[in-house]
Amino acid sequence: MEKCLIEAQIGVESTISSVVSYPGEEDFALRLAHLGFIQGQKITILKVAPIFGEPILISLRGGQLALTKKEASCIMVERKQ
Amino acid sequence: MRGEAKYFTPLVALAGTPNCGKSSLFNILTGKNQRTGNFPGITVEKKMGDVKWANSLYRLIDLPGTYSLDTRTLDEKVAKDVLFGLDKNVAKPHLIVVVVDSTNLGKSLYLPLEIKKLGIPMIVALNLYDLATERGQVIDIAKFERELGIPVVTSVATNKNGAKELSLKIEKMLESLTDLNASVDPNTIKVFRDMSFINKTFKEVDDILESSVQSKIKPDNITQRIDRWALHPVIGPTFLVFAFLIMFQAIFSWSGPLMDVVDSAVGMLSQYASGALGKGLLGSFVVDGIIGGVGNVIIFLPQILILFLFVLILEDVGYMGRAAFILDNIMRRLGLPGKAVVPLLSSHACAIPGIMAARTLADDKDRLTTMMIAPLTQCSARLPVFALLIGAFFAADTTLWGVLNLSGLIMFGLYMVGIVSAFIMAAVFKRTVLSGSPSHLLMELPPYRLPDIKQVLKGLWNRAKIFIKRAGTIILALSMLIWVLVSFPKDQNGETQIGESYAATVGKAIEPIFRPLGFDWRITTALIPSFGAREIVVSSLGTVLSIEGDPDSDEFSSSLGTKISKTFSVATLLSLLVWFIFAPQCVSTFAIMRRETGGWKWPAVMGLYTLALAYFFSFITYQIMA
Repeated sequence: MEKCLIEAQIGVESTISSVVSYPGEEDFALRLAHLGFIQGQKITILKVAPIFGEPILISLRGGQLALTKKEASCIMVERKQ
Repeated sequence: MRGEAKYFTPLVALAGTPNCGKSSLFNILTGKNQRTGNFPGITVEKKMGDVKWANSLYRLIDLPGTYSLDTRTLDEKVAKDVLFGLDKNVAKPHLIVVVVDSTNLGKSLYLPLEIKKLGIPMIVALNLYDLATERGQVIDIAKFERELGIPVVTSVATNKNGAKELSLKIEKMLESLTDLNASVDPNTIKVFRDMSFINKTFKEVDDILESSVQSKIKPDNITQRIDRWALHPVIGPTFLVFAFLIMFQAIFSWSGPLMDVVDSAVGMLSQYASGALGKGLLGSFVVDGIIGGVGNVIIFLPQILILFLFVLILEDVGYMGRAAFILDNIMRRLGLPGKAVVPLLSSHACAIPGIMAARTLADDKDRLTTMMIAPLTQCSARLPVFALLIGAFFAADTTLWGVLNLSGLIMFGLYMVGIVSAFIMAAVFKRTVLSGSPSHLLMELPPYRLPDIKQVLKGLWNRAKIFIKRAGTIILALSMLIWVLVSFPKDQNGETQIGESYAATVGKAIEPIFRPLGFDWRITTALIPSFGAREIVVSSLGTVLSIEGDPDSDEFSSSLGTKISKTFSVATLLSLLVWFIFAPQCVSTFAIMRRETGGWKWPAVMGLYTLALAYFFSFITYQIMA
């Protein structure tokens, strides 16, 4: 079972299950991969800006990254049982 | 190799992820002064410098940061091309130093493992090693080196000793080089796009760290704690506006004493020169032309330095990324990613680095739009013009409600008008000629750090040098030219009838175009050379009014601001103020636009639209006020 990263709870670590590569956006999926968005990687949402629900601040491999909602929607995480 | 040194300079490339301190290391090793700061994407070009250390001489090349050699943006491509030997202007490097941020090894070890595939001799420099140690990280370096399979040096980019070990290692590696012509297989790039390679490599990074890091680094709680406030939905934006407001307050309230010093120095020099040279032609040339022209610009040095002090501190602390985060929402609705804020903020110093910084944007239309609107943010060359014109209305110490400096508040307003116009124009461009949805944000927010006072002072010193050099070259030359144009031809009695001078002839010829804006020939004459340097308006008005004024009256000794307010109407001065918010761009801005866009089309569009905006808004301002 997996769910989209934006559904994950703020401040709770989850594990990336897959990164969706939308047609025409393959390069972006690769870019995410080069930054460490790969299967099995731990990821935590730190902050979600209000009103538009973006940008989203996440923590990954010891660094902080800002993503938009659309970008975050490419990232699927494991749903805990 | 040592014997060959006379004929051959080995090339060493500095590569690494963004914001890992490559340029700081480069500065220490070469003694150069590349711009550094705490946000990704400061270096967007390759920069070369020679290193002479002990017996060795080698050429170091500083590259823009990238997360992978499978690059997306123009700045990253520069790094890839050099490392692959595809750059026409640079030979293939003989040695690559991959700089790694020791405080975040999990993130920055992927790139060196990718570069290892190129088969070029390399060193991994563990930068910021002292900082990582302070935060409790202990690494078994020997084991780390063995597992990584690459020679490793620990380095500290902020002091000379910290870079010594690295340079010795580079020297040693260069001596042992055998194959100098090994070429890189261009197909290697395909490997970097292979998901199984990427997965395997990250696994390798984790394994290396697992086995060689004996004590993990303590998490950076301070950054997260500060971000709770800095990125807060209400407090964050409030602070952003407040920071700007305080900056402009400081520009006016702190600069007073310093400006008085410069002012009296210029005044003394002027008096001495006029005493020594008399009131003849030579005296007028030196006093009105040179001292009047250059001195009137130099006096704004303190204000410009205060502006840069704030900008440099914000950059060094790591605030730029936060500004981009806060503004991403608004920017995105306009059609640009929040990342575009960084080049736009840089443009407040000068549009040229701002336009170049647009290279960090992945999408071409976003990049073009950002470049097109960059000149609407108010660069530091406009500061003297604004300060002079505002000074013509109010004394520098006028306050509002006893707290806010009025001039500072107006300056803040002018900059905001610039920013808002830039945003509006971004929306216009993104909805017409450059339509498309904004590209990715995907941006790293670096950890905060205390500003490095030495770096900030160095940065200020650099700016001061640039400004003084400008005053001593282009502004001096244009001031002298204006003096000549204003002082000649002489009439039968050898007197200058300023209204009949060459300047007046030129100025009057174009005056009809500008009359609806309230500009007379004294202003229009200054507008032409202001394409070379905007500050020239200040010096030109200084020259004209000082020749025109009666040297025996009190007015002669009064400040330029006072003279201006006596000569021109409020409507004219406001109209001029508005003119300079929008136009004209200086020649160098056009040149850089041409280089970055590869043709004259976009520079022409930029020139025309800013000119149109300037004319339109100045016209409205003058017509309403007059």
